[in-house]
Amino acid sequence: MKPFNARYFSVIVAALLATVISGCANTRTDASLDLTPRLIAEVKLAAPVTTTDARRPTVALVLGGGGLRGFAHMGVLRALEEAGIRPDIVVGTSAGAVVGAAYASGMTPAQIESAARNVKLSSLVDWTLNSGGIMRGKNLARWIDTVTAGVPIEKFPLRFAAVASDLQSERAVLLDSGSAGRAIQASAAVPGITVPVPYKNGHLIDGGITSLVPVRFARAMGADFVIAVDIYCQGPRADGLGAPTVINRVMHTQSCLVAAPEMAEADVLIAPAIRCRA
Amino acid sequence: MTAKDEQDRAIQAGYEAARAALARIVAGAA
Repeated sequence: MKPFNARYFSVIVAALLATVISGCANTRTDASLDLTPRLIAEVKLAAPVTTTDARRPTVALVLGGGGLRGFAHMGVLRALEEAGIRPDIVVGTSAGAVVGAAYASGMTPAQIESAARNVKLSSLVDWTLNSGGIMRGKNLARWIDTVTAGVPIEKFPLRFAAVASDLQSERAVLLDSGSAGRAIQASAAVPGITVPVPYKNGHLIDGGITSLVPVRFARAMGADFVIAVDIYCQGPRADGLGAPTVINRVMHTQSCLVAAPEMAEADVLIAPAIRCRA
Repeated sequence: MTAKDEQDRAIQAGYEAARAALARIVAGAA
C-alpha cells in the first residue's frame, strides 16, 4: 500500500477547499438537538443495571473504536454466541458503537455481518462544504436507524450506550437514549473528517479521542465483569512519512496512550491484531 | 487484497482472539 496516494490527496484538497469556501460557517445547523450526553459522574448517580438472577454478575461487553477494523467485533460476537455468553450491557465507541447498537437492538451476529457486508460504504459518505469536516455523517445515522428499525436506544432488548467526546468539556460522554443513529453519528465523528454533532450545550466528536475502549462507563452503568475488545492499538502501524500517514500515526499514538489505563481495568481484554487501511 | 478479504480477515482475527481469551478464562477457572 502506498503511504500517500491519489485518494488521500483528493480528500485533503476537498477538505481545504471546503474550509476556505465555508470560512467560519456555524456547524450548529441541525434542528433536532435531541442528544443528552452524560458525564461519568452523572452515570454513576443513576440506578445500575442489574441481572434478574442475583447470583450472577452483571456482564458488560465493551467494543472499542477503530474504523473498518470494526468487522473484528463481529467475529468476537460470533465466538461469544458460540460460548453461550450474552452480556447484560453493551457499550461502544465509534465502530464499536455501530456494531454494539446493532447487537443490542436484537440482531444476531450473522445478521449484523450480513448487513455490514451488504451496505455500500459509498452510500454512507455525504460530502459537505463545512468548516467542521468534509462529511455530515447523516447517512451513517440514517443507516443505523434503518438497521435498528428506528427503535430508540432505551427500548433496546439489551442495555446499550455509545460514547462520544464533548468538545467543550473535553471529556468522554455517554449517550444512552434517543436515536441510535444520532448517538452513533456523534460517537463516530472523526475529527476533521465528519462535522461535529451539535447538542444543547455544545458539540460532540468521536469517542475514541477520550475513551477508545470505554471500560469505565461500563462499570459506571453497573457492570461487575467487563469483557473489552480493542481493535485499534495492537495492529500493525501504517508505514511512510506522508502527512496523512503521520497525522494518522499521531492520532493512533495519542488515543492508545489515553486508552491504555482504562483498558487495563477490564476483566478480559480481547485484542486482535488487524491490518486495515481505515 | 480486496475489501471483502480485509473484512474476512478482521472477522476471523476477532473470532480467534475471542476464542483464545475465553480459553484462558476457562483454564484460569479450572
